[in-house]
Amino acid sequence: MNVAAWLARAAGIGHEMASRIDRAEWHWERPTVLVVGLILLVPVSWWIVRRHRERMPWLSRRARRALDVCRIAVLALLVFVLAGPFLKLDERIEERPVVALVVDASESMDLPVGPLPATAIRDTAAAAGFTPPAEDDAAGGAAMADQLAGLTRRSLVDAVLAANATTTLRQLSDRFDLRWYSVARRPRRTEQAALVREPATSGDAAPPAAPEDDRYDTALGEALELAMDEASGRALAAVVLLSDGRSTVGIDPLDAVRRAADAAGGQSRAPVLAVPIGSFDPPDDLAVADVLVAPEVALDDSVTVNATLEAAGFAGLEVPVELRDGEGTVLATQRVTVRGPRQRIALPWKATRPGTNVLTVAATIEPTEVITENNAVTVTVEVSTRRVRVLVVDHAPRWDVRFIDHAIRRDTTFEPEIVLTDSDEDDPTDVLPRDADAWATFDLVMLGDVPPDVLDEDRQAALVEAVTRRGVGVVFQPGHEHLPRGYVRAPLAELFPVTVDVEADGGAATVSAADAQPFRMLVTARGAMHPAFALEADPTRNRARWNTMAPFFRAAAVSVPKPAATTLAEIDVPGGRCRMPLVVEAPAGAGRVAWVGTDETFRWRRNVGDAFFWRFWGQALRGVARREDRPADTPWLAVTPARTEPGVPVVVELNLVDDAGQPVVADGQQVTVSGADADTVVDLRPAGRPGLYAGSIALDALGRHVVRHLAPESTLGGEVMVAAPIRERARPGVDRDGLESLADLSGGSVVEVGDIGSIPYRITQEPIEKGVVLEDEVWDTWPVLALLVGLYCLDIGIRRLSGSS
Amino acid sequence: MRSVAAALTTILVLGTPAVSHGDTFDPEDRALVRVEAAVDRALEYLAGRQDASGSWPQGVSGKPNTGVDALCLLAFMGRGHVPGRGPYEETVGRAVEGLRRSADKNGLLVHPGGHSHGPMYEHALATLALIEASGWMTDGTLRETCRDAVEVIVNAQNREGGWRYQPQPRDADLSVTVMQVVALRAAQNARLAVPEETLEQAVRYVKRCARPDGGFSYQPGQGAKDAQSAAGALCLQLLGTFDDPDVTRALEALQKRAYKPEMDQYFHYMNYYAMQAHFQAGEQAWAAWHPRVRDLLLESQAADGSWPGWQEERLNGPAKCYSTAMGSITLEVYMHYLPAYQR
Repeated sequence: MNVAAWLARAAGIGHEMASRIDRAEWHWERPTVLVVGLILLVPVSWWIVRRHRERMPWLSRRARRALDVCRIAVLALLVFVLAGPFLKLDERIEERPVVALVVDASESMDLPVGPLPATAIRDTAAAAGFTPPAEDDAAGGAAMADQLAGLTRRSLVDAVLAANATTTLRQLSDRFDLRWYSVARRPRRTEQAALVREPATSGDAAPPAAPEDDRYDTALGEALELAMDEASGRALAAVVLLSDGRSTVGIDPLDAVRRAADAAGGQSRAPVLAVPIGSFDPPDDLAVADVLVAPEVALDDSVTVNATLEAAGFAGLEVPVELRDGEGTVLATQRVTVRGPRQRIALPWKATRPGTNVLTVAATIEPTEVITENNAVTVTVEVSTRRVRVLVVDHAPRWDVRFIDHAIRRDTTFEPEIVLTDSDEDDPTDVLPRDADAWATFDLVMLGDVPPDVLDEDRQAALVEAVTRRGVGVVFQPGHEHLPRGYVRAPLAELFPVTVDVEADGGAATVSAADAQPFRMLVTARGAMHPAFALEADPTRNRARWNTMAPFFRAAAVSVPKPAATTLAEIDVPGGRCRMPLVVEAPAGAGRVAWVGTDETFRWRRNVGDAFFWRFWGQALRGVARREDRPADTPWLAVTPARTEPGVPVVVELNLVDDAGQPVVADGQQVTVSGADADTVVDLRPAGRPGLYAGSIALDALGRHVVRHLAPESTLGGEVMVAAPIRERARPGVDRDGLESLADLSGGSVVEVGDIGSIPYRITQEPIEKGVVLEDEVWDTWPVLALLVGLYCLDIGIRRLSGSS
Repeated sequence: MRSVAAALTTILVLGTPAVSHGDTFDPEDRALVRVEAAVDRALEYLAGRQDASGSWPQGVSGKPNTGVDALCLLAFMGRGHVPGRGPYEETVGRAVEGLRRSADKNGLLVHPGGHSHGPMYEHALATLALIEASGWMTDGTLRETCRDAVEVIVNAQNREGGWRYQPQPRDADLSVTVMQVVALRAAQNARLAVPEETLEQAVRYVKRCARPDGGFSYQPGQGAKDAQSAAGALCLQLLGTFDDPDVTRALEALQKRAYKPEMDQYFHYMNYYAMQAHFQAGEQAWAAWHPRVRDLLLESQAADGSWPGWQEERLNGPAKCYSTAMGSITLEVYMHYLPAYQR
C-alpha cells in the first residue's frame, strides 16, 4: 500500500477510492461558489484585519494576527465546504476471464500411458519436457516411445504441467484468472502448487493426487459443474481438462454441459479443451466389463449370469471364463474364443443358498496382460426364500401393463396377481381387497389408471392403513383418465409422494409434449444411485443407457415432491420454470410408495425388448415392496450390503429381544467394527420399532471387517468385505469418443498432449474492460471537521486569554 | 390358395412384433438406427396417402379395405405412434375411428361396400389393430367393439379348429386360421375373453397342416409352401408350443431357401411371418434369419419411403400402401413395441 493511499484511507476516503488515489481527480461540485467565495474572501479578510485592529487595540500584534488568521481560515473553510470538493475516479479496468484447469486424479491415472502413435512421440516428449529424438533417429524414437508408454498417466500429466509451468501455464495465468481443480470421486478446488510438481521418472512412483478412499471413481461431470458454479458472475473462458475421459460416478459430463447451456439461454457456458491422457490403443487386455444378473432371485431358481468379455488383442485366443462363489468354488466354466472387442457370455447358476450370494465372473489372466485387475467382476445376488406378492390393478390393458403382465409372471421372485377392472375376466368388486387385512396379504400394490368408483373411498382408506401401518408398498403409475385427477381429494392422495397439479391440461392433470419435442427423462443424481435405475453395472454405461432411452409424450402433471420424497427422475416441461418430478419415491409410515409418472415406459423396450424395461420395473417393485426377511422376535445383527467399497457406507442393523422374546428397549446400542487397520465403535440408534437399532459406517481399509455387538455376553456378529472397485481400471483405453463429444457439445476441442502449448491461443476470450466511476466527497471528512473545531477553539482561547470576551 | 383374391388378402396379414436383436443389447446399434430411419421414411409415405376417412388405398379398386387400413395402423403403432400421442396422433386417430366405424351389427370389421377378398382376413387384422389401440383409448366403446369382434372369430371356427374366408364355421385353411389366432392371442393379452378350447382346437388344425418332411401346407394334405411354413410356425409358437418339432423343421427349411423376393409369390406375407417366427424361436434362429431380411428391405426401399410390391403387386395394384406397411411391420420386429408379439 502506498503512502498516498494510506493517507487517503486515514483521512476517511472510501476504500476503493483510496486504493486508486493516484488515479483520482479533484473536482468541485459548485466551482462558482468557490470562485465567488475566494473573491469575496479578500475584501472580507481585509475588513476583518482592519476591524480587529480598530476594536482590539490593546491586543498584542501577534495575538491579533492569530485572531485574524483564525477568522479568515474559518471563512475559507466555509467557502471550501460550500464549493463541495470531491474526488472522482473514472477509469476502465480489465476483468480477466476464468480458465479452469481440471486434472484427473483418479485411480485410472495410475495406468500406463500405453503405446502412442509414432507421429505423436516427438511432440508429446517435447510437451513433457523430455528431449525429443531427432527425426532421423529411429532408435531414439523407439526408446522415447517406450519411455512414454511406460509412464503412468499421472506421471505424464505431472511432466507436462511441470514442463509448461513457465510457458503455457504462465501465459494462461497472465491472461486469465487460472483456477486449479483436481477430480476423483469428488472434485476439489486446489492450488497450482498441489498439481504442478516434479514428475516421477519411472512407471508408478508418483504419489496419488487424491485421497485413498476418493480415487476409485472420476466425477468429471461434477468437476465441470463446480468449475462453472465457482465462476458464476465471471466469464469462464475455457475448461482445460486433462483426463483419460473415464467418468464413472455422478452426473454425466455431457449433462453438466447441457444444463449449464440451458441455464445460459442455450449458449455454451464454457468450451471444454479436452486433453486426452493416455493411448487410444489399449494394451493387450482381457476384461470382464460387466455382469448382468437379477439382483434378487428365488431359492432353487436356475439363473443365467450374463457377462460381457471385452478384449483388446488376443483375437482367436481361447479363454476360460469361470463363475465362482464367494469361497472361490468354481460353479461353471465356459471356454470362449475371442472373436472381437466385445462378446456376451452366459453362465448357468443354480440358486441353492438363501441369503446374500457372492458371485465372481473371472477370465483367465494372460501372461502378457498389463492390467489384470479387470479380469474379474464380483456381484452379489440375494436368494430369497419368499416371493414378493404383488397386486397389479389397472383399468384398461395399457401397453405397459401388458408387458409387465408377461415379465412379472416369468420372474420367479414375484407372485403376481393382475386385475384389469375393464376386462372380461375380473369383476373388480369381487377381486379388489376391501379392508386393510386383505390389502396386507400383498407386499406391493401397483395402481394404474383405475377409476375411483372401482377403488372406492373405503378401499382407499384400507389401502392407506395397510401401507402406513402394515408396511405394504404402493407403486402408482398414473394415466390420463382417472389417476391422479380422480383421487386428488380422496384418501388415496395421502399416499401420493408428489403434489398433483390438478389444473394442468384443462383439469386432466397431465402434461403433453409437443410432437417435435417429446419429453426426455433425466435421471437425477439420487436416481443414478438408486437400485431401480441400475441397468448396467458400469456407471458410465448406465448413464449412457438412460440418456439414450426413447422419449415419450405424456406425463402426470405434478408440481413438487412431498416432504421426505426423493426425486429419482424428472422431465423438462415446455414453458415450465423448473423440472417436473417424474419418478419419485417416499416413505409412507411403515411402507414405501413410488410414483412413475408416465405410462409410456414401454418405449424403453426399443430395440432390446424386456432387457431394460423389466430390469427397471423389477428393481423398482422390489425396492418398494414390504420386506419381512428378518424376524422381530429373535436377536440378530445384519450388515448390509455384505460387500462394499472404500468410502461407501454400510448399514448395521441390530435386533435385540430378551429371554422372553420381548424387544430390548434402550436409547441406543454399540457395535465394534474390526478391520485391517483399527477397531471402530459405531453407535446404533432406535430404528422404527422397539428392539431394532440401526447405524451406518463408511470403511476405508480394504479387506474383511468383523462387526460385533458391544455388550457383555453378546455373541451377535456379522461381517462385511471392503473391496476396491475396478471401475477405473475396467477399460484401460482412453475414452476419446467421450472427450470428443464433450468438446463438441461445449464448443471446445480435443487438444493432444503434444499440442498443449496451443491452448492459450485456442481460448479466444479476451479480458473484459469494465468502466468504473467512483466519487467521494472530500469536505465531509473528519480532518475538515477537526480543522474547523481547532480554529474555533483557538479563536475562543485567544479571546478568553486576552479578556476580549 | 384357391383364388387370387384370397391370396391377396392373405398377404394383408398381421401387425408388429417384439424381438431381440440378438447380437447386442445396444439400442443405438448402427444397424438398428438404420432400420428406424427406414421405418420412419415408410411411415411418412403412408401418412401422406391416408384419406380423410382414415383409409389407405389398396390399389385394386377405389373402395376401402379394413385389412390394408389395419396393417397401416399397425405399422404406425409398431413404431410407438400410439393413439392420442406424438406426431402421428391425427393419422392414427383417423385410422382407429375408420376401423371402429366399419363394424357391422354382428361385430364384423369390414367396411360396408368396401373392397374385400374374404372378410375374415380383414376382420382378423382389424381386430388385432383395434385391440392394440384399445390400450390407449379408455372410453369403453372401443373395448366393446373388440369384444364383439373377438366373438365373431370364436363363432366362425369350424369343427376342424380352423377358419376360412367367410364368418361361418364351414371349411378352413391355414392362412386365414393363423390370422385369427394372432388376433385371439392379442385379445387374451388384453384380457378379453377367449375360450381355451378355441385355441386348443386351432393348435390341432395347424398341426394337421404340418408336413412330415418339414414346413406347413395351405390345407391338410397339400404340399408345403414357404409362406405357409412361416405362418404355421408362428401360429404354433403363439399358441405356446415353442418346442414343437414341426416348428423347428419349418424354420430350418426356410433357412435353407435362397432368400430373395422371387422365392414366394407372397413374399411380404412370408417375410413378416418368418421374421416373427424366427424371433420367437430364440437367438440362434433369429441370428440366422434377421440380417438377410434387414439387408434386403433396407436396400430395396424406394426414395419416397415405399417398398415395392414385387409379385404381390399384381394382386394389390399400383398402390404401395400394403407393401410399405408390411415392410415397416417386418422391420418393427426389432423394436419390441407391439404387446401382441412379445415373446
